[in-house]
Amino acid sequence: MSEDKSDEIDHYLLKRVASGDEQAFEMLYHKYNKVFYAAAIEILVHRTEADEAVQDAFLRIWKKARFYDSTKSRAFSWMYLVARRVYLNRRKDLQRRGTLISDEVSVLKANEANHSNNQHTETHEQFTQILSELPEAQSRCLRMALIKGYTAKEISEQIGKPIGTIKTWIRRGTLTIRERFKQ
Amino acid sequence: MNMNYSDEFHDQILEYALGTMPESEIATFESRIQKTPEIRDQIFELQRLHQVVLESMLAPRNTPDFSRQILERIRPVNTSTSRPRLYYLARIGWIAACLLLCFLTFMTFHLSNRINSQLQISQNLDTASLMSTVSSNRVSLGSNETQLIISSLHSPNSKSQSSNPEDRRENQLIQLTVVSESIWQLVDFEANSQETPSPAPIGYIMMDAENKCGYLAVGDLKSTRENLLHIWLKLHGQRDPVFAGILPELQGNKGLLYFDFTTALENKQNGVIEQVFLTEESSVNKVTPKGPVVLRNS
Repeated sequence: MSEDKSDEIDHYLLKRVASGDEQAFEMLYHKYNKVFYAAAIEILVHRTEADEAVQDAFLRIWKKARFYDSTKSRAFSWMYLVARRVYLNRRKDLQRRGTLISDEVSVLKANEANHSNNQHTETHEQFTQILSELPEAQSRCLRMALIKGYTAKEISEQIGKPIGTIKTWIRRGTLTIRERFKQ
Repeated sequence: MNMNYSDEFHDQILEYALGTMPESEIATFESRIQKTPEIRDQIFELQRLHQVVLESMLAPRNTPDFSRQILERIRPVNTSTSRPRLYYLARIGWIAACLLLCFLTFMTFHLSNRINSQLQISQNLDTASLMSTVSSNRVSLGSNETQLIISSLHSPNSKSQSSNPEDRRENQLIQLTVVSESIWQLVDFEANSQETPSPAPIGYIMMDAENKCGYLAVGDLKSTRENLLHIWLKLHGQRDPVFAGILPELQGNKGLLYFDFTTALENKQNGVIEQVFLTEESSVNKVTPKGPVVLRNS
């Protein structure tokens, strides 16, 4: 799907959701539930937690849709941000209760899921290639920022590198991805 | 990114685009980007890139469908007195109204002999073997052939409201989306109502021939659970079909999918699609179809 057309449709549907249109909401759900669910698994690890979190996330999108401002963000990015906040809050709760598996296990699980999925796209292969070319710490850092949604400060605390270094890695990594995808 | 910005500002743009900017900094940053539209464009570009990364890296199998649970949690807020059966009846009524509108639109244009084919929708509503034609304008409804055209109606005295091609395209997409979703709901509802499931896969395609995009709906894909479904396009005057993508994993072996064939047809001189067909392949195969054809239009 061309990006512009997809954006237009998302924008239109989200506006309809803001006015209480359940059908538009269902369409958005079916369009994005896979990626939102996968993100929930990535962040929360536990499938049952992800099950609940994804429902809470879409409920929150339903309730907050009227606050969406198309001049500030794309519709998908806005929805993803709302969902990710739900996941991260839930993650904090799990961490407080001490029931969250460590990030290393999470990454392993995500890799297993990806390996079992033989529908690898060209983009997936490109991104994996870019990550594999980076030093391990940088690759991990980029994954934490782009996939898991950690802030530079949080990554800095987990990886044990200065925040300035983390920001540079993320900036350079993102530029590399952008340039590579343009080719 | 604009290389004239400082690294610090690049980082802020990234943080804002990815949604990791601390809450305390957002208001200040937003006031800054309001004055500079090009920063907003960069943010949108980064967000697009982020979406591509997310969608390519996060693709698990067997995603559960929570739509019913979520809608049940929404409905008490919206219509506390609504009941499931009434909801379906209301929905069927809406779908019927939509189909009626399509039919009336077609009749109006057909009888006045002023067909404006802004948006051609091809379909076959024989739900036993639901299959459609693409870009041929013709629609099989039982034994009768007809065509459905959707175009907005307005008074000849009023000024055209959508002379802008972008507006017109957006309107076409919205119409296509609404009608595709409506027909999908109807087909899905009928399929769920049947006591014995269909023995063969079913599908239909609704396409904006001009923009080469539209919706593909498939159902009852039980036999293909282990394999990949490849989409191929047969173009007018060309012997070899063109690879157009792989169907994603579908919850419940059915679903309504948006597609855009413009990339697949980017370098094709003759981009007139004569046929769309799906094959079952044991591995990714973008060159030539090898597996059996699962669905195709007549």
